[in-house]
Amino acid sequence: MSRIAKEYKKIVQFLSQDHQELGVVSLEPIEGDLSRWNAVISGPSETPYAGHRFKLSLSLQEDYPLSPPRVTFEPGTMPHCNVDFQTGEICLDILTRDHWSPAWDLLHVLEAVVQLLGDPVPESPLNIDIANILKVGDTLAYWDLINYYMCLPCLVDDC
Amino acid sequence: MVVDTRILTDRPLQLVQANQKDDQIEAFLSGKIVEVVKNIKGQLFANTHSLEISIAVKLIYLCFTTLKGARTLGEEYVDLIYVNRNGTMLVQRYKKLLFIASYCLGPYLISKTLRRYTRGSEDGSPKTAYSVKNILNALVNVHLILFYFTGAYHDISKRLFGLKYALGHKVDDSEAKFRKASSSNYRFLGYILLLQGAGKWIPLMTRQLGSLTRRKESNDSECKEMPTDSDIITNVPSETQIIHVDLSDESQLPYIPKASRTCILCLSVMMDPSCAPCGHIFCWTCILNWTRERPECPLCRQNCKTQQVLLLR
Repeated sequence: MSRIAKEYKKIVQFLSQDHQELGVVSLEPIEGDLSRWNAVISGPSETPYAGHRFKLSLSLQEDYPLSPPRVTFEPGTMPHCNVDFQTGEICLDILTRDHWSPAWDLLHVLEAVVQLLGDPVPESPLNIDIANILKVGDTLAYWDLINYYMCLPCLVDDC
Repeated sequence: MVVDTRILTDRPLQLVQANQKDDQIEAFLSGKIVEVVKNIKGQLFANTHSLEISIAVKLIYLCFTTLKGARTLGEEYVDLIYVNRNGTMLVQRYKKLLFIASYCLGPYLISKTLRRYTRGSEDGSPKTAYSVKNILNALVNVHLILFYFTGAYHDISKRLFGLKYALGHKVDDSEAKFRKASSSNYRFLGYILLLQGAGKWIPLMTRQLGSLTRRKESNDSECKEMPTDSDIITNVPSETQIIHVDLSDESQLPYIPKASRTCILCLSVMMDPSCAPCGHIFCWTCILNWTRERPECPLCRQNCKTQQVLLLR
């Protein structure tokens, strides 16, 4: 059996045990195609994202796990300095070929994305405007802005 | 032109020089012809038929020089003409034709038939094709060694059809002296090749002989020992010859605890567990696939080159 099929088994088992602390709400293949996945994560506590849920899509290349999965937020739903707001693209080192390790699986990846929400890295921004706020050291303004985004009705999630 | 046919070139130097010059001219000609082919048939054709084009170039070049009775530019450069084996006569035209044909088409046809032969039948013949290839290689080596020592025939086809070279002029003392000095270098090359060949063939011969005598002994005393041939690896073993270590069998490598018998890469019970320099264990195929991608351990990122992975037995 291929690696991703095994992973699927593990994911089903894992999610049925209710591991809320990791922030992974759901992760399932799209129409049984194990190379395309939909995921929902919940925002980490003690951040403005807490209490909200975010949709992600993951796509695997043929040589997975030798190459990292491509992970994106649903476009226009994630205000974060390492996420392109328009496209949902994520800048996360472990998702690049240079830093990926085949020892990681899809759950690890989602866990890392959840972590990233609480730990923005303004040095490698994809959302330059809000990254600049962090760069000048105004953390309070950054989180307040995120909080403001979270209150916008267009961003209110229904997943 | 007055030819002193008694002066045979017995030094490899001029032949190599002539050959180099010819190669240069051929490369130049080949560039032009490839250009023409590209314009007519397109880039793809030129790329896929590069071998055929290079053969055509050789044919054209030799037909317009050697076959016509003229000399190639390389031969002109060092002033050489063809004579027969004894050096008494010029070479007949049919011999030249045979030489050109075998020189241009021989290697191509041989490699092509060999390939077809190996593809044709699946199991038995690759070995014979392999040995035919070995024998051919050995022949080429022997030919080269002879050439470096005697300097008579630079090409194997020329040896076959007896196309020897003679100098087109008389050699004066200083030229002779110079030649003698330079030929010793080639002789040295010949010794090296001889050594190399010996290193390659002597162990093979002794092994063959050894296994023969051993087989006789074992016939006498009803096989005392396994034939030692098996620990000499001569080719890549096929899948069926490999003894796999499957960790789902609990008697295999019992010192690996149960929790560690799953490969983190394929998430299955390990097949052929293999150890990275840092001590982490993975399936052989899994870790090799990864180290070819990036030479580091997937778990701890320490250096792990492909050749450092050790198969556990």
